[in-house]
Amino acid sequence: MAVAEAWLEKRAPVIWILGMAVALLPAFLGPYPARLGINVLKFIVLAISFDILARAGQMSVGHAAFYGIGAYAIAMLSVHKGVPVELGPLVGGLSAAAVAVGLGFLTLRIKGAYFSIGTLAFAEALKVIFLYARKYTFGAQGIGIEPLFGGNVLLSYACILGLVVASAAVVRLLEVTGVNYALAAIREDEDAAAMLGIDTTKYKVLAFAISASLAGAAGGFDAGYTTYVYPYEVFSVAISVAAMIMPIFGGLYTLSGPIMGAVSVYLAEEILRKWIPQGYTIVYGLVLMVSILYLPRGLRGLLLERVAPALRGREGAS
Amino acid sequence: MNVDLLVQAVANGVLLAGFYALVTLGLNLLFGVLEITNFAHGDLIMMGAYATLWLNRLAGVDPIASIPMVFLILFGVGLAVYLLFFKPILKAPAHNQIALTFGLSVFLQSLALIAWGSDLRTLDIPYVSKTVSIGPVTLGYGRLIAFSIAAAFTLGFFAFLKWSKLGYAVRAVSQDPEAASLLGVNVNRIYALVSGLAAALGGVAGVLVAINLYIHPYVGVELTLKAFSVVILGGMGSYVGMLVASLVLGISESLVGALFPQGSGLAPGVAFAIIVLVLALKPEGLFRR
Repeated sequence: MAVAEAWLEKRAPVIWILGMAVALLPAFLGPYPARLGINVLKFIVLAISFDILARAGQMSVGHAAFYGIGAYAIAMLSVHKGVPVELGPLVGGLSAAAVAVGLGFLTLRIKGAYFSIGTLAFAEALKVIFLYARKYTFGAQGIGIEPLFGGNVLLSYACILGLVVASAAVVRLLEVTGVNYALAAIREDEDAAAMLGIDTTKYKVLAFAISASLAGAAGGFDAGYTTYVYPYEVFSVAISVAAMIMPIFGGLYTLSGPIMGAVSVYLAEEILRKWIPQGYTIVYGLVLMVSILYLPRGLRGLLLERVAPALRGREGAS
Repeated sequence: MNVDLLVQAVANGVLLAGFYALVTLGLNLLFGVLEITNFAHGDLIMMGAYATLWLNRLAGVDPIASIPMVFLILFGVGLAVYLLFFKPILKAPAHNQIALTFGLSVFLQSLALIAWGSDLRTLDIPYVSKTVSIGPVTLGYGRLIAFSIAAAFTLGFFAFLKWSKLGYAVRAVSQDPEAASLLGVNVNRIYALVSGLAAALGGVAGVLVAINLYIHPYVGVELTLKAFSVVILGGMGSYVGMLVASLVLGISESLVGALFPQGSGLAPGVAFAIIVLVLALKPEGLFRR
């Protein structure tokens, strides 16, 4: 694995440029590929967002909460105050981060399963609150807003691709500045990390805020892109599940893992949705269980550990 | 505030509390012995509700008479879940266990959606809608039946745990698996039994869901969250805490439903409020194990 990783590390710039080119391609292939591309990119942001929180050892089972806060923030500001929907990712990201910082200090003492239960309850509670605060949210009716960039697909595509690049940059920044190591230490053993002098409070709240802001930005983008925000959709279990499965299947605590997971799971879902329109989410459950039981380092780990050495073996023989 | 209305709401709340205790029992048992937090527990209850529906529609079995069958079916499901999923992750980090049981939950929900669709289903049993009046209080047969069955199974389980030889072994394993193993207890077999029992008790709760509530693929998610609110308030693994917390949840839901306009829509929020408040203020719950 180490050899394959070193090989990839050396060629990182080339891979990134190639990756960007591939990511941009669907925008020019027509409306359906463009829509597919935008959705995949949106889920990449969500997957990276989940992964950053997981790095601190916190498993969010209700990540839709922050996605929904982002979506509702821009939808309500747009309808009631006339804020342009193009500010969606910014407004969504900031409001979700603000909520996360407040919540972060409350949830600090909570670990493991308790944290996960808390996130699940938080997402469900928000759904009830947004359904009942009809004066501002119009309840179950939802909020319709202006289309992002007047419905220009290319600009929307560029916007979400920009968000993906920003998310990737944030992850690189965490790795370069060493925050990553502090998070890993907290994940492995929080008490030991505190004894080593790591300010666990600071790093946990930081990871929570960054993670929430990315999910909120994705929600803020989606509100304008779909022109419609609806409590059963933005706070749905389906979004929380997707945000969780994609990075776990791709490979946690890496940058390429969540990206690979988002692309493969979303495409699988898109195909399956045609076969079984109801219950296509069964693939989510299966993928999640199989990943935990048989793919401890995800798809990325499988490729690096098994496939890459096999390919090199063949090269060597020829 | 009308006193009669208050008494009525509290009486309904107590009946509801009995149901919630049985909903939580399996989750609490599994956590107490295997130390796995099962996010799919409510979905096992949902399976029990559909099993009751099927037995009724296909073979005309009365829901109360179907309890032994549903118990056995879900015991089998629980055993299978143990062998396939729980056994390999017994020693895994908590976040892996959470992700796995969450995956199981999504899997079971999707399976129900494929098999039965998203329609709300009910059993039409004539005796459920009858009522009985005691002084100012009027109680529905459906809720009385649910309370009695839940109480019988909860107390029966406590008796099993306290007085039977197998119950002794379960308690020994929950306290110290290694010491129990040295004393000749087959820990693996106890884990399998507990997983089966946890699911079977969930199945009986499912029968009660079929008697009183709408059956749909997502009914389990609501019940999982309610069970979580009970164990979080009562303290994970504590049975006394579970009973007290069930009363708190049942009575407060009932009061919210009676006191506020549109209260029945707000009642589900009580469980979330309990979870958020307890986690923020007293994460270890009221009773420590």
